[in-house]
Amino acid sequence: MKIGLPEIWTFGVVIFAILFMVVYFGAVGR
Amino acid sequence: MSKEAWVWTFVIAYWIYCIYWGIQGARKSRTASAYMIAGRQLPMWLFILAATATSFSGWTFIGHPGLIWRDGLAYAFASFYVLTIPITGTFFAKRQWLLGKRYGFITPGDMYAYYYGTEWMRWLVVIVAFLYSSFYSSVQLIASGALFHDVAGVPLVTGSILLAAVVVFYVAAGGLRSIAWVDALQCILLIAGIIVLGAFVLHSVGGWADLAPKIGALDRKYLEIPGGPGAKPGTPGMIAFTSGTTIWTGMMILTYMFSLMGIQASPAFTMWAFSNKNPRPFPWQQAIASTFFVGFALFFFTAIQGMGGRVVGPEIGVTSDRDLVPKLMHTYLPGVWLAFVTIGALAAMQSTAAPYIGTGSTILARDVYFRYIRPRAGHAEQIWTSRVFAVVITAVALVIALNSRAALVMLGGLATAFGTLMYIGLLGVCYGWPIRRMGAVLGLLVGIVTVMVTDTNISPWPQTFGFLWTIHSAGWGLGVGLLVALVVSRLFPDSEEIRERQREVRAWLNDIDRPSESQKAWRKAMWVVVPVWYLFAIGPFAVLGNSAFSFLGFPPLWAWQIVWWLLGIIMMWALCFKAGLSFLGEAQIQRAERDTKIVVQEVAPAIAGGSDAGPEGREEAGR
Repeated sequence: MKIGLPEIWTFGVVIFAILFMVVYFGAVGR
Repeated sequence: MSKEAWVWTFVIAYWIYCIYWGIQGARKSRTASAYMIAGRQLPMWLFILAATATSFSGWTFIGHPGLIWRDGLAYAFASFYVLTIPITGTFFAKRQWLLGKRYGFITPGDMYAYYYGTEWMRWLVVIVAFLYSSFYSSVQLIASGALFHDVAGVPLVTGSILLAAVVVFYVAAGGLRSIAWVDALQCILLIAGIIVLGAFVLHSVGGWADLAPKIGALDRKYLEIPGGPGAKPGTPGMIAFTSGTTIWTGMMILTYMFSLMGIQASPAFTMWAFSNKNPRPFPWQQAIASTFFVGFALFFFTAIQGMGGRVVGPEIGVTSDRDLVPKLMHTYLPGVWLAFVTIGALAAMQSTAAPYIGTGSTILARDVYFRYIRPRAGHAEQIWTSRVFAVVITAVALVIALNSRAALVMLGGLATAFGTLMYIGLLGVCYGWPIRRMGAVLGLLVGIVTVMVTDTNISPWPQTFGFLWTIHSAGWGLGVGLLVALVVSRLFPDSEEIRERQREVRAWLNDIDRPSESQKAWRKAMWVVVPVWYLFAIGPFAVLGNSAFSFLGFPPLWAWQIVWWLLGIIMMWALCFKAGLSFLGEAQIQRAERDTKIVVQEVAPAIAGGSDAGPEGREEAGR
């Protein structure tokens, strides 16, 4: 599958959301 | 500086921005279409921000966290409207843009009346648009007045009028172009405001480590959808055979989403679709700006406001869902951030009110005044008529609002359900569903009546039919209306002239927007994926989330929502880009530029200075 801007954005934001959760609620938020 | 001084500083800076763009818009809007649909020249990023701000109103900022506080995580499923509102755009925005470009439609009434060959459709759209532009917008204007009263001490009536006056100024002066510029800023303020308030609340109560166990210890009714596996017999879960009451069963959540799907089917969004230079921004607005960015604010930070508010509510004196957010703001925000979040809330309210007032007034000016009263009105007369309508409908609505808030909330709430009914017309226009003239008109009329009868807030028989079987009035209206439209269409076929016109529309649309082989394969898969997502994320099977899994201290239902939101982003990407529902290739965009067949004149030919200057040519002058 060709990886273009839509793929970078879509999967980028999903990964960002997961990382954010882990860091903010898992580490900093504690 | 005091809190009030900070608020005034921010508000005045915000007003200067609004007024500046009102004047700029007025200078550039010299033709009817330049004023009404920004000359079909809105750039990509402006539409992405503006359409996102329009979709999420003051309700998102104030009402939504309040209801999470009141009803718990079962209600928090409503946050999935970050996906269900734009998914309507995924289905219809691109094809509406194509039709607007080819036939020169300016209002949705132009499109429906041409395709179905009846002026009845124009009038029905005018009614729906009027409901939106007056009552739905006015709910926003009054809410902003109430907030202004709360944080700056300005009396409600004075504040409401003052805030409405600024909105009407830039809407009336500059038309859709000014609305888009102001909406763009409002979009950023709205999302940032929600995040800031949620983060301050979380920080102030001792962080997630303190808050998570307290949320987990709340009464089960705040943490679960009623019913589900292991529940007492008779507890509602997927559906409840009741009437006259709102119970957040799986069915109610699903059909309430139908009501919100009406937002991007509304007449205002048809005009947003027409106003774009090209359809490139559509998939980005739907999959990324709405589903991800607004979703990010809602699934984490709005939920923290609501559930955190449930934990700290007794300490800070929250007594009703309406005062949750103002109380959180006053208790936890220092002056400068209070001002920032206030502007965010005002932005959320006004970014919804402005486009509905703007498009509502231009729909009245085009579909009623120009069409029936003064067909020879020139550009300036049409623009000034729109401006007068914008002032008049806002003034009338404010008077009603300040005198009978109960009626206003009721009628404002109906607007989105009526928007959902536009699906009936759109399915025919955009996808060639077998809906004929008589079917479309009767389907819409019956849909409107069905919504009114089954809506608990307005039904003459609320105890018998109100939200019957925990199905929202939008669900009943769309279901019954669509059924009537399809059945009546079989009984009353159209004349040959209308059929020929529709065949031409279908042939062109299906040719220019023909899916590629890969898009066809993706679409086939999405016929399974989308219903499965709906059933599990927001439908009857969401009750499984009561006890499925949890992580990082989130209660199971909250964790369920986060996971299905992330899957929802991927689903939207697949729908918008891979299945190509809202994506149009370069060659097709170029072709749409050439393939025009204008059927709607902006002004009478004699006024335009001869028939050689087509509407597209005249728009050049307005840039």
